Amino acid sequence: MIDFSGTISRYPNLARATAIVLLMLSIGAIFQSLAPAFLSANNLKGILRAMSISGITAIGLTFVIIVKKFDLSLPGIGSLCAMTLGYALSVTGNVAAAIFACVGMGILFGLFNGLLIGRFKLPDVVATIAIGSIAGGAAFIYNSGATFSDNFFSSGFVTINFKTFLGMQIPVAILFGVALFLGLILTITRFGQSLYSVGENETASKYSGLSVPLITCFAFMICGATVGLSMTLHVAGAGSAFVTAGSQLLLPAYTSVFLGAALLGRASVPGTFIGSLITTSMLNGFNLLSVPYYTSDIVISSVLLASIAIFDPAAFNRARDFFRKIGLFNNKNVRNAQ
Amino acid sequence: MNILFIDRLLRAVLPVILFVIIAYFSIVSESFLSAENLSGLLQTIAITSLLFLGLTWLYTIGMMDVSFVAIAAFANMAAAGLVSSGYDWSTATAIALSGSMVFGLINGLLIGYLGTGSLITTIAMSGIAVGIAFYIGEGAPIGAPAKGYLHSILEFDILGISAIFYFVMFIVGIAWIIQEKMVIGHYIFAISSNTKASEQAGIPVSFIIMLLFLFMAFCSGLAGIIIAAELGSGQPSIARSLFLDGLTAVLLGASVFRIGVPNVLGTIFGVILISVLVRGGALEGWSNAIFQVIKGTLLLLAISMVISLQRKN
Repeated sequence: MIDFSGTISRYPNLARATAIVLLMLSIGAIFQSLAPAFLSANNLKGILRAMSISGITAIGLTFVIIVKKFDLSLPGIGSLCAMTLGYALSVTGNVAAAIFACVGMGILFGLFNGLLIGRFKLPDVVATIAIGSIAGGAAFIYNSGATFSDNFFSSGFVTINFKTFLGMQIPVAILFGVALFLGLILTITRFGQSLYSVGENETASKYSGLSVPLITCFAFMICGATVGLSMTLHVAGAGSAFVTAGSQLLLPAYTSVFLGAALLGRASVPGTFIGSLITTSMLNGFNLLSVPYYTSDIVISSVLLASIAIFDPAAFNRARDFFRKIGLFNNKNVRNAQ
Repeated sequence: MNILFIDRLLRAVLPVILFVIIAYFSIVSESFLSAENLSGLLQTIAITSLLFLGLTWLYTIGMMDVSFVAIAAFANMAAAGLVSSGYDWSTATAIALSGSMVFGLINGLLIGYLGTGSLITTIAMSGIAVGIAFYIGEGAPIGAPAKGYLHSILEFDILGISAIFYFVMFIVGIAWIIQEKMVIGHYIFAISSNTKASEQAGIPVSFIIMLLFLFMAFCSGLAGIIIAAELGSGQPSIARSLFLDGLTAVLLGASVFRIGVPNVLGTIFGVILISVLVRGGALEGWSNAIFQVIKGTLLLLAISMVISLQRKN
């Protein structure tokens, strides 16, 4: 029996790069053979366009995952942001003010999350579920939940969809901008490194002089801001703001972050970017094959499950130990015998 | 003020809130105290209690589970789908329940034995279960004819209350005995106070985690099937609103009876509080958005109380 585990542990980066390339190639090949339009220039543009919405949230979520917390308030906050945007736009007609209100609302609820979890030490999952529920209910306050679409055309808001910047559509340009900006913050700034440090060991970080509550709070605020930003693009794409706008946010975001973390070894912006690209390509492929949404949900969830079960180093080691115990996968013993 | 006083005050908060809510609805709504409404309320309490019962011990040992409603949705649709395609209710129950247990088993194997994170694993598992639930009905609800043994149980009433209520209370009683009197109950509380120490002491932690996920899947699946019989149809979207209720009930329950630890009777108390709130609010015509805000606030209140009680202990 061939044992890859030795090779993998000797050349981790090579193994990861191979895994990523193989994954992308096989997705491309499978969908191209089933739906010939998959690799056309127009569809690739469409993938990037769809990725701009889910990818920005996933990049924000990466920050929360890095400090080893979870944010389950994404759908609720997303819906509230979308409705805030619609309300501000239909009242003022000012695009900049509306986007500012939308992102600001995301940051505000991110701050609530951050305060409850960072400062008051409530469990992250429960606190974010509660905040998400409150935000989701609050989204109904505007217009008692009816859809907004006033001033969307007259104010020039929907031109975000088709204007270009440096040859890219604006949403795609925003995605690259956010990825570059937040990626740099994470890798080259003291703040970015302290995020990883808090995630690794909260107590040690505290005694190294880092303010753990503040850093946790910032992570949640960044996540909230990205939710607001991707909701801006979502509302622009849909041409209206409605109360269920955020409901499809959660699963692709988590799949992107965990797939990225599995491929690159830890949660990071490039990893999430690749994870998001793979997730969005698969969703797009299923769309082309007119597979219903619930079936693609099953596949995306399975990808998430596989990426945590197979690639998680702790789980990988436990599984290897288990297989060694029952006699399979025991190249090590053979090698020792020789 | 001494700590003991604050502790007693916190313990008394929830029963007082429940009493105030009941008093409020009895005054503002004429039909709240009617026999018909009360028996409907008890039936809701019974089915919801069953749905959240298996969840309780998972939260006790510090596991997060978000897949319980998804498994209920799956069992609900599977049972309705099987009945509508000609199987009788008992066969449908058996198949749907075994299907649910498979989800519980996968959860338990991955989390208990492979050591993956419980939240993220159950997020993925609930995506799969809800996806399959929608797949069974191709995105739409399925009608299931209302005849069979479950309907006889639902319609058989003792003292004006459906037999299903007594059935669930019987299960709750057994669960309470398991929790308080049997060795596995002691193990559960031992794991909840220190997982590592329990493992060192020889408690089969992985096995218990798997067992609890199986029990959760059993309770959720059974509740989903009963809901299918009660509604006369399978609804793939039952998962959405119940998720928040489950979490809130379990955590509210952790601030009564056994302080700071989710427990069986506490969960039933939480279910009663939420069911009264929802039923009374519905009689008064409150909108869904208001419920969402109230439940979210209640959840925050519950978790703050649990945390502060745990710190005091």
